[in-house]
Amino acid sequence: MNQKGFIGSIGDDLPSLIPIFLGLVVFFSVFLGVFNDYNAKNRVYTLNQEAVEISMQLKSDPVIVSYDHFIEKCNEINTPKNWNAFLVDLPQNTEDFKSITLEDIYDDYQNNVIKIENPDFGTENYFICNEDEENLDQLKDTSKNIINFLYPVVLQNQDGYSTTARLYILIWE
Amino acid sequence: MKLKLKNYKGQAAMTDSLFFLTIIVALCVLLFQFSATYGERVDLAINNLYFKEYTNSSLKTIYYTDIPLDNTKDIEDSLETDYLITSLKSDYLSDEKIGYSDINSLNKDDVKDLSKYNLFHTIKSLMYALPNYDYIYYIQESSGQKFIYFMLKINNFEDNELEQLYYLCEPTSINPVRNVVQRTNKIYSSSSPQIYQTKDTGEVRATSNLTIWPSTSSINKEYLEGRLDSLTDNEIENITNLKCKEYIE
Repeated sequence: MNQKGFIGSIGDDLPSLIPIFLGLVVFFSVFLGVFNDYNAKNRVYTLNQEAVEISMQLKSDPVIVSYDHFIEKCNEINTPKNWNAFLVDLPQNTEDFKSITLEDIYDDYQNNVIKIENPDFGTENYFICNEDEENLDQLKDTSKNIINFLYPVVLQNQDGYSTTARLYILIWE
Repeated sequence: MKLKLKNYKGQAAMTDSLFFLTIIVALCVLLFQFSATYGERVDLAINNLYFKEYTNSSLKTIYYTDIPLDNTKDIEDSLETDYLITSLKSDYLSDEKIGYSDINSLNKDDVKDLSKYNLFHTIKSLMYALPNYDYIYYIQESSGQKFIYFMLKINNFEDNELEQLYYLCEPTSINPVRNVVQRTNKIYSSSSPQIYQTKDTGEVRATSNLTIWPSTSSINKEYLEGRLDSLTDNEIENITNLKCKEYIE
């Protein structure tokens, strides 16, 4: 009579195991979610930090005096991240202002990035740090989190006078 | 007594597990809270750094840009060009002001307003890349309250249309300027020192400042829409002191 409902030592604890199991599942799900979110945010902050450091180096001189000067600055940058930087015209007449999209760069940077003629070889030099296709192709990947920084800079052109330009810095993992 | 305890054994275990579940839920709430707020300060610091760098770069760019010394020609066609800062300093030397017109007006066809016109358009073009931000740019003498140059840009949203309004102003002191932007908590500013020469008094030390804030801030709506009823007499006085005139080309 005293053993009414008694179904063994484990059997008696069976109902209490359900909330314990539920609690553990909920806790580890939340923990995993928070941990992933924490990592994702940290990755973005690291990218932002790298972008700031790249921009500081590229803008360390008040005027970019030549193409060689710009490329020299690009070569000085040492980062494990994927990145690119380029100069786009910033016209004083705002009616001529053209917004730049990623597509404009990976598809047609030759018509959007500032260029100068190289009289020695009869070619054109583009103010872009990484011109290789592999780097530009990565910009097409929409799943990548690409951080974009923009700054106004002064560029001394071939005629000797200084004009304003937009310096774009792109960085991704 | 022993028999009774034996009867309630399963219920005690159930209570323990419910306590455990409550603790887990509390922990989960704490974790969510941590996740939601983590990085808010880092975000703020990155934003501060970026926009401060932007205003810094803009100030540098303003003064190293070349301008044509012929007001009828573009820089490509002009025979003579000069740095904007040199042009501003030459302009200031003769009459201790930039441009010939009043500080809150600009005559684009007058060659005497050439540096002022170019300063206005250089700033306008630099900040055009940040269309969602409003800004103030000014040059003020360090020793007194006198402003040498003052411009203000505000985005006006009306009937789902965005209109960019530009003002040239003549504030009597820095206080009304502060009052214009004091309501926003997101404000980024950079300053740079300058030295101007005058014929009579010699050197004049000045500070140029560029201050930007998001256009979504409601700080300027009242000023734009003229809803002065909600403002105190003191605030109305401060607006008057800005002495702004809209500049339309």
